[in-house]
Amino acid sequence: MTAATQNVNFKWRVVDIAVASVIGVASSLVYWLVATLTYTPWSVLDAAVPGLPGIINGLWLFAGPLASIIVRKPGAGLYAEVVAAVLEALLGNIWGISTLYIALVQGLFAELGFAVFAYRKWNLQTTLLSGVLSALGCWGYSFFTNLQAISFTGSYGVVYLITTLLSGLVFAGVIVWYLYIAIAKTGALDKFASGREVRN
Amino acid sequence: MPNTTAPNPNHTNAPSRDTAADNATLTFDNWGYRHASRKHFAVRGLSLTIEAGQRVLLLGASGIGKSTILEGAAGLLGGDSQTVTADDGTTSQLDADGGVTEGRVLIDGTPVQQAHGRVGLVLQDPDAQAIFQRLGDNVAFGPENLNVPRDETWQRVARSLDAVGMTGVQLHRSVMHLSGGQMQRLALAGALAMRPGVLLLDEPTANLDPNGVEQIVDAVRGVLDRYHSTMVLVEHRAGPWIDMIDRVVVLGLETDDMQRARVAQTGDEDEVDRSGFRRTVVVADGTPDDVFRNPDLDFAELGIWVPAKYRRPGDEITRIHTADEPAYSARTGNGQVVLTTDDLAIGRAGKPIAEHIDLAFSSGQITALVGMNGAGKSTLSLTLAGLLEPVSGRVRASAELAAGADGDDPFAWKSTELASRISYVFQNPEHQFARGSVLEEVMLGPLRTGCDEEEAERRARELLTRFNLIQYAKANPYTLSGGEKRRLTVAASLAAAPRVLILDEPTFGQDRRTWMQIVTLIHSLRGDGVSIIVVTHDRELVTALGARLVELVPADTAGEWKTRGAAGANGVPAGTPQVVPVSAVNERTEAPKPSSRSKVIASMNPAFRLIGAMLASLPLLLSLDWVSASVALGLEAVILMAVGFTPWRIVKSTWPVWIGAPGSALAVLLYGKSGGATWWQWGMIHVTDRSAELALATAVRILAIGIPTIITVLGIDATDLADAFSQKLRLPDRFVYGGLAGMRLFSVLQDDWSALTASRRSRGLGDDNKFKAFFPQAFALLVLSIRRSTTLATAMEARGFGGDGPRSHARVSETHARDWVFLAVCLAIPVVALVCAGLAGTFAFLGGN
Repeated sequence: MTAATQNVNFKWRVVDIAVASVIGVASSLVYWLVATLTYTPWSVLDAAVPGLPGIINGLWLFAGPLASIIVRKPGAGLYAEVVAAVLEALLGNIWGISTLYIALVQGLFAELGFAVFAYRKWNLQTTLLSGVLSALGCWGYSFFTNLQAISFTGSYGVVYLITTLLSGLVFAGVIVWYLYIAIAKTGALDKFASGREVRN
Repeated sequence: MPNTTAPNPNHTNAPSRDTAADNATLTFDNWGYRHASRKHFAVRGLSLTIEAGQRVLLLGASGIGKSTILEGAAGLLGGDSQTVTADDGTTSQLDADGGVTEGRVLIDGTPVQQAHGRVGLVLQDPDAQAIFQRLGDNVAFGPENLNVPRDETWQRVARSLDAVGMTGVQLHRSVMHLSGGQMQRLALAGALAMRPGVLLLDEPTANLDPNGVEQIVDAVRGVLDRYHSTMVLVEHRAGPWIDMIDRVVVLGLETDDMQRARVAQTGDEDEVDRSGFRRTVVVADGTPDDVFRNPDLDFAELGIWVPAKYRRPGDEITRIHTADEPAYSARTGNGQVVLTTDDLAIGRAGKPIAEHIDLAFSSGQITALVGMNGAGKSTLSLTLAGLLEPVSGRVRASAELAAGADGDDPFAWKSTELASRISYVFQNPEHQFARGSVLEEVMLGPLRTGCDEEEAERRARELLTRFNLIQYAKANPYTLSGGEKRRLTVAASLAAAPRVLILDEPTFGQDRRTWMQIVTLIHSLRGDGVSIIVVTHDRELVTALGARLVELVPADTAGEWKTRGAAGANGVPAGTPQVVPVSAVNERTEAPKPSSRSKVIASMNPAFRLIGAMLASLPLLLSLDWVSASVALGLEAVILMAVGFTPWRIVKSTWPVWIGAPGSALAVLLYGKSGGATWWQWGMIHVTDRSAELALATAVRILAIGIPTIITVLGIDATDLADAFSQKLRLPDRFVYGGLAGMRLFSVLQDDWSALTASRRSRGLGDDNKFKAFFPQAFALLVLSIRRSTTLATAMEARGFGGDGPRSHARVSETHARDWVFLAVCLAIPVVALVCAGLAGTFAFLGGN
């Protein structure tokens, strides 16, 4: 790597915008496929087995950290989440425009993982942090909306917190990192510093 | 020199720009480009001038850098760059894409980056160039990016569509329903609307059927006659174009070790050997007559299909023959039938497009499934492959083929049973890749169908050697070139030793060299006794293979192959096709879709609908109590019924919240905040008076929040929403329209997902449990989506998108007084509900303690 490419360039190219938005779009397709497979049983299990729903929460969180680690511009994770949410709302899936609220929360929290290092550190650790923070946002959102009537410091709240964070760590952190490496190896990311880092 | 003071007529804008020449001169000045992560420059030291008004055909071997040259000429390379000085003092430009530029590209003497809109580029893939859902918006996009005023934009749209022969087409029509030829003409119209002085065409017909090729060639001819634009065409099959070409340029490489320029690839190599590469040179330049009659140029090695009038003996495609070829003919096979259809009806989603099909396929036979675009060739071939369920009737495997499997119906077979019997090679190789290396990719089939590791590797290495891919055994399949990817998919399919091999458009978009490799490969499989079915438009392919023809003929046409006969260029007929009648391919008109089931809601500005949904729902989160929730839900029901929704329609549109609400309520009932009498306690579960009341409030509130947020937003057109975001909310256009363009890919990616599912079944991966199979398939989808989005970015930049300058808006996002009334009504719902709760004394801030 030459010194020049390590300079941080925060200006978005068209390809940055296109890739971040399409990661959002592809993710919403994946979310939708997961939802159609799991939605009904999940809603019931949510109640019956405290903590279990938290375990798969991470599946809904990967768009933000993935877009961030690939595009590497401030706001990429938030942008991908918002594109996915608007698309889902227009398609009439699940929660209508409420998906936009949760997308904003999750996207912002995912951004935090990279923002605290001034968008200069792009490694497994920051990706894990991003995934976990995104999960924290997801958990907080649930208790602020649907689960206001449950004490978030009570045992259900704590179990739900732990499972959600674990799920975020795995699905939105570890898996996202190795997913990114695997995508980079296909050469699809050669126009990105993130892709060249893996391929060179 | 009497003329020195007169302006060059080619360089001035004539008063009437619509008809007079407005063409530009394109100059490469010692230009070069090295792509990110590449060792060698794709193009280097190129000096070439194309005079205004010239129509140039650019030729050169695969990998010589023709597409790079066009991208450079369109100003798509080297943006946002910084100067780097090498050890020897030469300077180059390192750009944000990681590429390196040397020298300059000039349009009428101006660096191309500053010559906005002077160059129009049409790419190979028609699907990749449609940026928006509605046809007219795609043509208006370029002028918008050039800040052309609204009225003029729509005039340009009409004129450009007229110029490509799409006069009077409905502007709101969805691009999803256009044929390849129409899509490509639309892309041409989109480029034309920018009024380019230079028109660049990068293999514009490679992905089209014969009818589509005719459409685009005619359209370009019309455009050149009208605008006299400078044109640069890159195309392997130059035949249909040749009478409008006045200059042919052949490129080669100059190397250190050789005096002579290296022109072609060697052997089976897909790319030109670049060792010692010094610069890109012009090896031949002149009129078509000069160049194509030049005996020193070997056009077959260059991958060029020589136009008919210049063909020499040996350029002609004739019936080919391969070693170990069996004695029986490819048209009949050895007579042992392996697959038959009995009164088969095919179609998707239960609707038949063709019925009463009775066909038989034999070992060693090659069948070509032909017919116009949209006739249903893929539907039939996927049904034959056991990947699509017959609508009625059946596909039957012979006793020999079915031996060991469960029954004789391929669709009912397990994925692993299918993989070792019938294999399907998809048109897009990336739909098929399932492993991280070329070797593993080929080992997959044998491993899934019961081979041990050692045998699988032996078989894989043998196939890779035969297909000349062994040197890439460890490479990632996605990183191979186009022709290599295609050979790999065939190798991987064969590895499971199927008795029937179905190939979908195996020669699409290939140059003559790669074409020859693939055709030879397919033909050589006859020796293995495989029954081969190719879905194709390619007449030369049918001739070369000596294949049996089966044509799908739509009810409203005479059929392309039936009427013209499938004669090869040498006049040897390939036989009368067996005809399968299918239902008509309808050219439909579309009514504009209403954006809501309620006329009132549909008339609102989309951004206001979105904000209204938020105003109606968000404040309800302030209090969790049954009074505010019930009042809000009641008001919503009354209002929605007043604007035209029936209660049943409301429930049907919002079904997910009706499942979600009881789910969350149950969680609250069991684990919610407790108080009052205890109903039941067990472990963490504690059901009390209070938790029951909160559960009820939670359920009702989820409905009260969910219903308006779904119903007010449902049906909004994405383009209208983007316009509102841009014009009413003043969000930056780059992000708004970048996001919108990404959204159009949703339906494309849905089709990708279906293809991925089918290809995994075909490769023996379909029996895994859903969860286990989900992740690799999601990975393949993400790779595809990123590839599609980088192409999308290129297409958008080619239309001038992404610059810092001002943009105009061809469509107006309107707001009226009723939009503000709508917001007020939306906000009134939670306000009234919360006031009621306050009066009733039930208000509980964020659910209370």
